[in-house]
Amino acid sequence: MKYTHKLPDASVNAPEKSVLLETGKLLAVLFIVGIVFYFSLNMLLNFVVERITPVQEKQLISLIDFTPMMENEKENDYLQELTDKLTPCLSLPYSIKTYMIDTKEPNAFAMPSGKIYITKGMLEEIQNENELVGIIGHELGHFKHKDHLRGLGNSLILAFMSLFLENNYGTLFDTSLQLSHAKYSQKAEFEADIFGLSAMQCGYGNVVSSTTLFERMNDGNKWIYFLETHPDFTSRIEKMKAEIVEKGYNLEANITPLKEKF
Amino acid sequence: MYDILFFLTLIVVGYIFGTVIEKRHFKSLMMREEQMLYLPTIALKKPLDDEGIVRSELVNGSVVISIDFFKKFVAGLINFFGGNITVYESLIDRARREATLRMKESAKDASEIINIKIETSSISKNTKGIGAIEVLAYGTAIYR
Repeated sequence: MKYTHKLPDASVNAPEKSVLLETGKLLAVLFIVGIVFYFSLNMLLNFVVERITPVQEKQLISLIDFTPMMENEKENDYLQELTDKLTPCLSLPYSIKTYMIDTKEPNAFAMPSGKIYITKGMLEEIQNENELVGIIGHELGHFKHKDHLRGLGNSLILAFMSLFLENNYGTLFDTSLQLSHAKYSQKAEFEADIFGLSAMQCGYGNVVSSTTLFERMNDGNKWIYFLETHPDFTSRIEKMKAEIVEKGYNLEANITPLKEKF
Repeated sequence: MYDILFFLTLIVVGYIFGTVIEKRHFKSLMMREEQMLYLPTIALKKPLDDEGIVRSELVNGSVVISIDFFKKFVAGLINFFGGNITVYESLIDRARREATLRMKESAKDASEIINIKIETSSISKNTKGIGAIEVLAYGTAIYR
């Protein structure tokens, strides 16, 4: 038997391929699949949320323990008192609790289990009680329109999808998960504004100063964080003003100063 | 946001360094394989020719090569769809050839190396970090 000297042929076991091109194709397919999956799940979510009654919602929420939702939440009697003035206008089967959280970015959000969070940064920007009532009214609007359920469902969808990617790219999704709880669609924000006005009129007796905070937000760059979740203030102010005129809400009242400094 | 930037940096760094290192390695492999081509390496259990054997000894060569973040990322992508993980194929090929070469280089004066076996094991297999592969090649060097 004769031995033949032979060099290994690299093209057999490690064929040269354009790795970048392959990766690009895979990423594109994965991206499209992810988007389709995400939007179909969201459509399903909307379908379900629209059919949930407030009573069913209460039962559903009681199944999940939301207690340590925010680490630095603080109860505040003044905020709660204002909230309690507006809640009878909603007829929700669960009670709404309003908390202050010690965060600098001005923001406010409605969370499942009937909790409203207003950041310290936001409270410091508020100049009178009317504006504060406006904010609470707006957040109550999210409860009324079940936006908090949509937000929760959305977070769950993202968490579910991130499970698939957990092994390799889990970290990518953490950021989006944290932000998603405060992100509602622009339409939801408009509707919450409109509802906020009606709640303000119903529980507080007037809608004075309901748009002034937004007007101040319109200029000034410290609102960038808030702008990300609540875009387009100009059209929101316009819509609110049109609604006030159309419904004939009370604008003839004095501005009430804040009873407590934040 | 910083998570994503960090992740992208790892991928880009992994791709650039990984590609450069792999190209260099293949170049060096081809050069050294040509140098060692005179030494027959055979998987048969017995030597081709029994005559004139003075001694034999066990020789081995092993190598550990780490995967890079880019390879891991691409392999993760392919996990979704199935198919050849070509980024790993080239890695394993490098490791196998390097181990065989090291074995040959450790027995430069031998007339042949017979009964060659190649074994592989993966290092840090079950951790979330970047894994590495070890390839061990061993055989019996025959001196005449």
